[in-house]
Amino acid sequence: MDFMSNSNSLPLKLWKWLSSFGLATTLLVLLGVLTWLATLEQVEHGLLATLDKYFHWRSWWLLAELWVLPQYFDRPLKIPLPGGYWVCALLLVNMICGGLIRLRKGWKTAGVLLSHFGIIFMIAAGGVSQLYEERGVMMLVEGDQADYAISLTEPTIEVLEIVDGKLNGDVSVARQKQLGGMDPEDTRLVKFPSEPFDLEITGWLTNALVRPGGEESRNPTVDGWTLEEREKEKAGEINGAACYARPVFADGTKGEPFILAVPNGRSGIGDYPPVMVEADGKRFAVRMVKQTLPVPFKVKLKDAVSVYYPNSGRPKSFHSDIERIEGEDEPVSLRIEMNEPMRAGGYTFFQRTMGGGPQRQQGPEFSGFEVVSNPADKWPEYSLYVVTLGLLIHFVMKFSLYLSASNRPKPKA
Amino acid sequence: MRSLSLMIALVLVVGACRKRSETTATETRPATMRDENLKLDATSNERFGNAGAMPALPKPTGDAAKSPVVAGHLPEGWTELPGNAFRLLNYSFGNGGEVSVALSRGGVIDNVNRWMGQFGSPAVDAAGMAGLEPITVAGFKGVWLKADGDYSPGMGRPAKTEYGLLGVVAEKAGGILTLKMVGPATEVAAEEAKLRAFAEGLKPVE
Repeated sequence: MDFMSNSNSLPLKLWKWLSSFGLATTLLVLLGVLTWLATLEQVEHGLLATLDKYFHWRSWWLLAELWVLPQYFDRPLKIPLPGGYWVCALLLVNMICGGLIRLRKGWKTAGVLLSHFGIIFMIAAGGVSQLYEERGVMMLVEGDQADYAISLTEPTIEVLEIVDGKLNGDVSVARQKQLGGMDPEDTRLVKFPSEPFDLEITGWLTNALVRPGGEESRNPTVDGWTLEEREKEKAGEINGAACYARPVFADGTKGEPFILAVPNGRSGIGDYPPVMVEADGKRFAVRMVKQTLPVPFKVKLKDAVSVYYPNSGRPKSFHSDIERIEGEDEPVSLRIEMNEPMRAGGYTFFQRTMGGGPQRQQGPEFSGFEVVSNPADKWPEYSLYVVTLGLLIHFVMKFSLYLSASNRPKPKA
Repeated sequence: MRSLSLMIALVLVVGACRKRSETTATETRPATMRDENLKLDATSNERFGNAGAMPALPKPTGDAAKSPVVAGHLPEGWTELPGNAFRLLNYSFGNGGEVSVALSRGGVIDNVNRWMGQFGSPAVDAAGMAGLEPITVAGFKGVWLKADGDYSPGMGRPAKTEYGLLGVVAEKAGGILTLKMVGPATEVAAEEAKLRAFAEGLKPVE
């Protein structure tokens, strides 16, 4: 590398900066500060919103809120900080440059190198999880079965072609990548290449109720109904997103507007029925629902057993006896319990919630599984093994050196 | 300090992105059981009125579906919601308040203490029950119950602070009927008169 010979070259300066202890220290301090401020702020704004604000990849920078002497000041101090995801990304680069490439290689540093590799692996696992992890909940009453889970947080717009009253083919889905970052005054055209029409979205609200409309409504009334904006919930999974939409056909003409909405989590409502759109002589159902996560097999709940501490809603133990049904194969009987998930088909099923039954003296027994698809599912565990092995090697090496130095005869004075 | 300055500069440059006015959704997913039994061709009233919406939890079936009571009236400011496996009648009010009528099992004292436990209140015994205000709801005889503080609804739902409970647990021929209002403590206190009128208005189903 020629630039290495010129100590004033920009690439060399950049290389030195990226691999420096100074950068590593700054990033670690920033991560500590971000974690501390996020912990304080989530009390006020809720866990999901705070995690998004501090650690989502879309959050390049943020204004952290810190209440200083609240008895004297009625506003929090706002501190500009870089987003946690990108601090971690830079730390990853710093660790690779400084902790692997630049570090002196030799048997004496083998343990440290291995530990650094483990830490890099762990940071990478976090990044991969955030980019590729899918997470939802499958709720089953005893005797029921399902082949999908539902995201608790991500609203999506689905387009389903309907033939003879039933779904025909796959479902087109507009997700957070397409719908995210919209404000109520924004208008966005969401193109569906697989379908003969697109959707023009406007009036996006993160949390809203669908109410009968009228002249006094703040938002437009469509077919007698309007959207009433509600304050964002601290528990983000309760938010019911909503918007106005209209189809845009291939010739550029636009159809009648309609409301798409996810019911607010407090409403007890699952999904609103879809709205129908006709295009190219075909019929389509369009709906906004929390993201559907298809699972490559069916799960049937045979028995849900929950034990609570007396006179309380505090769980003592949960477990679910299930059958995993894959095509025509013989069903596989399994038990899912706390800390003993089921891993199959790239998905992990954790026991999440339980209810009803004799213990609760109320309603039928049901079980809720947290269904997670994460290519980096086991990476943190593996990285811990690598870090532990590296530190063990380093410790044994240092200890051996110490012992051999201690046993060496001391020179006579 | 130089590291920090460089990072802030990087963040400002990259973060200055404009909003998109157009985007493409290429993702598809296979059909699932969620796509069965769709309510097609629903009008807006059917979509957003209570009749059209699908409940979040399965609707009750068999004996559980037979409500022994009907509401006499809908109090002003309450919104009627679809029932589900656990709620024969279901309403919301204010900022997160809920009212439900349900059937339960066990005895009156068991249910009273289950609710008290959700607020971390000490369990009551037979003597404590005698001190609770009696009420008869649609032929069910029971007691009024009040509690406030930190509310732990259970079933994996997060705990809530400064919440209030006002409700009735009543019994007839071994069956337990519950009328439960929970919500922010100040809102529950403000709705007490409406809940009492609602309880009086509940009518038995012949």
